[in-house]
Amino acid sequence: MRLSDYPVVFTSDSNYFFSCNARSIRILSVETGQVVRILSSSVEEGGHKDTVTCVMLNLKNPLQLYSASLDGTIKLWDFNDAVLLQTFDTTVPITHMVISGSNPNHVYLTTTKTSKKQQQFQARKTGELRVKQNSVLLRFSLKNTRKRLTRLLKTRSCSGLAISSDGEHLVLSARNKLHVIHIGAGNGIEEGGLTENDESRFRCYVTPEKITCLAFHPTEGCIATGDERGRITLWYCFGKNIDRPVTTTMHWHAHQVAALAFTSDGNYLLSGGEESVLVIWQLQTGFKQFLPRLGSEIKHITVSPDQSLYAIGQQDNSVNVIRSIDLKIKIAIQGLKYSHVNHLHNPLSTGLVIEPRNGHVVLNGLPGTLQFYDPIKEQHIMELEVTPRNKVSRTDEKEIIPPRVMHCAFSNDKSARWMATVDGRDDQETTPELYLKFWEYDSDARTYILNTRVDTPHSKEITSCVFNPREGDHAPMVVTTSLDGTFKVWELTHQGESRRGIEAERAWSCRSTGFYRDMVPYCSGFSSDGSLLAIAYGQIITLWNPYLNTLQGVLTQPPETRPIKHLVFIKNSPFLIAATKDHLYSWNLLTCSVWWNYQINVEALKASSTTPHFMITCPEHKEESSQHTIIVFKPTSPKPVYMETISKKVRAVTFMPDPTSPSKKAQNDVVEPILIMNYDFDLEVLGGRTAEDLKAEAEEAAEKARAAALEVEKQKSLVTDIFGSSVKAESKKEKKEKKENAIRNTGSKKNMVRNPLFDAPSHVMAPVSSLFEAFMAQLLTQNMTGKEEVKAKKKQQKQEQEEQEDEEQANGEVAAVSGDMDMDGEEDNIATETELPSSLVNFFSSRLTV
Amino acid sequence: MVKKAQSKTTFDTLQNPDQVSGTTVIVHSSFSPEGGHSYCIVTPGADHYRLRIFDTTTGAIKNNYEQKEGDGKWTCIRWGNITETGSNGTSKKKRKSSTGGSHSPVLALGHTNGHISIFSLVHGRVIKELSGSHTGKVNDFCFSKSGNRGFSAGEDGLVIEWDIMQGVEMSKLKTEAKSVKKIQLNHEETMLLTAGHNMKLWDLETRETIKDFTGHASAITNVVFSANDKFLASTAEQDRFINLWDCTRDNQQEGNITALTLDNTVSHIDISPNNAVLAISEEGTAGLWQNAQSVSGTSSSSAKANKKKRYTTRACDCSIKIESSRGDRALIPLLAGIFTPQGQMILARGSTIKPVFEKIDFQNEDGSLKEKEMLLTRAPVTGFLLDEAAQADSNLKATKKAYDESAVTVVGVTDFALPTAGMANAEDSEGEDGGDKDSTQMEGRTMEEKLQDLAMDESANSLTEKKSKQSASGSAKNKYPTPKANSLQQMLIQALHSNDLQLLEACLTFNNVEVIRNTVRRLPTAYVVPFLTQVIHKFQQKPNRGEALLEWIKAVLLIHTAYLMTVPDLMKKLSNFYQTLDSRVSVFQKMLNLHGRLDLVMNQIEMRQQYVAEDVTNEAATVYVEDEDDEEGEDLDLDMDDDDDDDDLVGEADAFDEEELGETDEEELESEMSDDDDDEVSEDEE
Repeated sequence: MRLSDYPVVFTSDSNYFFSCNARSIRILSVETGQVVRILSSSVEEGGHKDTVTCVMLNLKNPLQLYSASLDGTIKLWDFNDAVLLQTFDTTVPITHMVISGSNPNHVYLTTTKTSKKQQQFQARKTGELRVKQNSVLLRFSLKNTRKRLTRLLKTRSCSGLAISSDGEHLVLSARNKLHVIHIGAGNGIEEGGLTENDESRFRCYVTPEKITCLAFHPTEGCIATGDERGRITLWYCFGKNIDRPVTTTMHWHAHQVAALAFTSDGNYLLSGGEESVLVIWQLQTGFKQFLPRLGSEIKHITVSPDQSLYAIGQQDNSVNVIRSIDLKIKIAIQGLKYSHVNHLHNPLSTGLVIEPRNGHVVLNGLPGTLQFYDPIKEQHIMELEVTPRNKVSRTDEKEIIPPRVMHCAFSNDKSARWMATVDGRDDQETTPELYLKFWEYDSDARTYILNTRVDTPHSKEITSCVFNPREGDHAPMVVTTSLDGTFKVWELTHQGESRRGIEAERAWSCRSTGFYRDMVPYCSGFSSDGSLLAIAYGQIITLWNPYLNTLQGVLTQPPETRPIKHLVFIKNSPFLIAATKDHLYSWNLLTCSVWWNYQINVEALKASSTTPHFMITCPEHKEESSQHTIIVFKPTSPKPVYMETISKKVRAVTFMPDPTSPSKKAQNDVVEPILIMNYDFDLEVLGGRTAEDLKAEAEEAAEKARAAALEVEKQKSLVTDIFGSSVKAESKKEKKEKKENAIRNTGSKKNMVRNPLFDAPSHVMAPVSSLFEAFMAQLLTQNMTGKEEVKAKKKQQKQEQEEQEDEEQANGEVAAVSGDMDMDGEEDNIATETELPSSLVNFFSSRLTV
Repeated sequence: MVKKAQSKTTFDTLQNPDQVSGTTVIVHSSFSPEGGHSYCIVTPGADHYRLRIFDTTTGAIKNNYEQKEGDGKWTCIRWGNITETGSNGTSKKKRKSSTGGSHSPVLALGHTNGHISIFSLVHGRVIKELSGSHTGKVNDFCFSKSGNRGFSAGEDGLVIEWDIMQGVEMSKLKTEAKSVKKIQLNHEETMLLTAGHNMKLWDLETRETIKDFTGHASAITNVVFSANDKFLASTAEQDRFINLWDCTRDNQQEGNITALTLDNTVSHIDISPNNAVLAISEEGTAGLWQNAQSVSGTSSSSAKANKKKRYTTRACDCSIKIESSRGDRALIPLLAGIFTPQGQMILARGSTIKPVFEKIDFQNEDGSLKEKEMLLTRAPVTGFLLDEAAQADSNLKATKKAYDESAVTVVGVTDFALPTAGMANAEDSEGEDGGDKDSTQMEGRTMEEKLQDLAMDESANSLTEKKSKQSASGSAKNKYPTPKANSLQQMLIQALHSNDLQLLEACLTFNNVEVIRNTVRRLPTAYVVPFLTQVIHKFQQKPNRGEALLEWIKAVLLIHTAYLMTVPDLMKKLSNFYQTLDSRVSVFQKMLNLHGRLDLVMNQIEMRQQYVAEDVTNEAATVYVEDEDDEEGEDLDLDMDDDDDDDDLVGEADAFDEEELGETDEEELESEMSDDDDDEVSEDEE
């Protein structure tokens, strides 16, 4: 949810406001702060194709809304019913839009024309998405005339566009220039008939500083501009002294003025900027009123039509609605904070971490904090300050380097009692700071309370931080690896003695330090029972016993000499997945050999915490567009289980345990929903069950229940009521039960092959030779049932060859057949296999280099 | 497989306003169905009721509503979902958001004048009014799952089916009962239950009664269908029984299957998807029954067997209480509870002003109960002073967790392995053992022997002053190394034995190498490890004492090496010491560099001063003509001003005499030598 990219707009009754959120527009209630409705939610239904930059109520009908977007369209909505009424195609990306009050059919808009290269360069340099190079002011007619688009003015980097309330004048600010355009009727030019050539109508004033924002006084001929140096200038440039306008300068802001707004009666001017202070200027007296400590830089200010509310869009992706009477916050709406921080200086170093307690996602918030966020309800849960930090406004041009949270991990038990964070600050001037912090969940305070702070746990940057996932009442354990070449094992211990009935204070401390040759570890992982610790040094994976600190084994990659970047154990299986920059390896720890591998670019690797699945994201650079593919595998086979292609870069991925399905019944074959952070730093959920699916499932279940009930009713006749059920019926029943049991048995046997035999960690298992007998015995029983499957497959292949048109039908049939044979969800497997396009299979088999 | 059979029910009660729970009157409190994401509580205000809705995950207030017009009092409150117009219920694969208004949570508020208002949580206001059908007060309202239909029951005995979208009456059902207090749809929405004192189950298709249950002696307050619609549970006013009723169509059993009992009047009940029943009593405790349907399961097949069981009651399988952690053992009352689909439950507790919500795991992975009696200790919530204007602020604060270091243990570089409790105990016992041995030894001696010892001592004292000095310093030459009460070794043993830190400190003030060595040599082996740990601890605490303490550590390690080798977990005990040294040595290199540089700079400054001084003197000695003298002096000054320090170093170094250079070299060497010494010492310790 991006809330504060662009200024919000209130409805005429001030009960709701509109917020541009990437391609969609959200209507939020002032009363509750919740999303009431979403406009333009999907492109298929006529939504915008690109970012919405401006929304505006229809002056003729306050129940309608105009929205302008970078895709070059203006759309008119009925926002009560969320219906698209009309679309106007202007063919130019719109950055600013105003509508004349006197002639509502004329829309004035600015567009930016920048060459692609420049734009990219600029974006890289500043880290911001909005770039303006050459701006053109245009007039667009909403009426169906022949010439709809009229060019009025060309200028550089437009920073603001405003129109007087009587519709006579248009003001445009661009860098150091303030353009005032008389667009009203008169002097032989009819209303709205202005063209580029009527030079007498264009005026231009030059200021010494760059103008950053502007506002038009609602009743008087007065324009307010804010500049880079923090000055606010009031221009009285209408009337007699057109050439030498009277100006008033008001200076309070230390940094640039980011937003200006007049109250609708024109008595007050509101301004805000980087200082996080809302300044309210009384224009007649020059009296200033302040609302300090708003928490984050102010980006936009909007005043509600009845003047009772101010909406303030802030840098941390939040909108605060403030009551004008007592200047108290009425409601605060918070989006994902990370989407608005400077991504170059603050990379998403924690990734997306799922908090096991509530299934919330945890990620970097503002520098030095963690944000807990509910991605499904799009709700901000809490912000946890990891390092103490006072919000200090910088005094000079140099940016203050904030501390950064680098890693975050949760203990694996369901209650997620412990959290470990790594944070630090390195400004290249003073001594680098590095802290490892251990937090304990406090059910009274309902937050994580700092338990132990370790100063300088390693002498260099920490590369990974993992919790031992073992269950039970053992003391929790954390392993950190660092660029200084060591890994350290941290354990919870009792500090001091527990005397006089007082419980000893619990604290974390370093139990042991380890290293391997003089190499540098980059990543680490624990097996799912916590008995094996894997640490990757360069292209070598070392396996350790974390309790005894003994080196259990060393796995070396085949020839390729790139360092391993990612390393995960797969839940409940003896597989270890390692990935270098361009190879993916699946290690079988029973044989200590590579089970399969791919040559594929791996950007991220994540394992599911409940099912034996893992996923990778791989970028594919085609001409211009960089496509990203998310692929889900099972460790046993190189055949992907699930694939999803995303047109833009994926910032981060994680599996999201489905909160609606009970955790106990986690099916092994169902791929969990995937949570991604997309290119626009917004969270998206892929796959999984939607609300509709859930409903369908529920209906299905209900239908089944009904059918069962019917069957029972059938069996129960009057006769059976009196004499009890007949022998026939009972025998039938028995048979049925037997059948079901048999099916269950085969199913469980199958499970046995998978689970208990190889469930133990590889290094504590008996040698393979002694396991052979038992294993083969199980395999044989499985094959008996498996044969039929093979037959079915063959049959299906034949059918496919014979009649390719009826492919769908065949699929259904096969699915039905296999479904009959076992209820274990093999059905899904086959279904997915057949669903995979053949080209895709080819693609993978060509890359398969076993 | 039953997929997501969520209990659609809420615990709805309209308690009498005179019922007091805790300190404040609660008119109504309930969780939203399907996961309990929200919690609503109605408390009476001055002349209005006040409705507040909390978010259970953050504890923040979502809505705060008072009805200004009318009498402002509601007769019933019920959760539901309605479909709003203009929602985009598109079946997209990429589910961006489920808040598209497709299903927005609402509350139905019944009024005394027969009106029903639908309050939207999202809008924060009443969005619909249903009126015109009831003549008396509305007793209860019930939403269908889709949110298109709703049923209301009035004091007039009518049950009315509403089309909520249009706000019109769809049909009317006349019940013979005088008044219907509660109505409830089953999950499949085929049956409707109306309850006053007795209960009737209606078929919605045919509009006929299926069953007529006897009900309770008092007015019924809660009815909940089980997830599979096989049975239902009901509670009544001033009744501590929860009655379970069979509501399958195929048998005609109209008595209750079983009754679950609690110690006090039951105010809330909920049934989980796997048929566990949770009930909250009015005194604020909770009871949990597992497999409440177990009796009902047999009942459908054999009605006879059931008759015997008919009046059996069941006490709860698990009772849940929450106690104040203030130490006064006061109970914190539970306000309401609900099961979540994940197999947990959410409980609301504390005051009505600031309830606290907690998710509790009550069962293990296999579905068995964790504990028979769950007693949780929680801090009571204080700070109720909360004016309305500060609500948003407090909400902000609730989600903003400031950094708090009040309860933190700081682990520095120097103490990476804190002594574990186990270790500490081991040391203690070791110390005690050692003491015992000593005492037995002492006891084993006869008085004669002791006297002899004393005699020897006296004789030794009486010999010569020189010899006594030697013995004081603990010379090994003495044939009888008799321990003296005032000897340092004895003091040390005493200090270690009694864990007297002051005495130990006194011992450690000695820094004579010879004394230290002798003391350590005579230290019984049992005290070696405790002594070592103590000294190391002090060493870590105050780095500037290191020099003095190192002498002790060194002595211990040198003299008792053989013993230390036999100590099994020595590695663990000394690991922190090792790390301390390691970290200090790592600083050492830098310090050395700094030292060297500072030396260089200091020497240069010194030398420059000398140089200037010499220059002046030289010049005074050599110059004879006054004019030239002045010019040269000026030139020199200018040079000095212009040059940088570095230039000075180079330029002046050339100008120096051989002698001076030699001096500096020597000094540097000396400093390096001394550094080396330190280095050696620290290496020795390792």
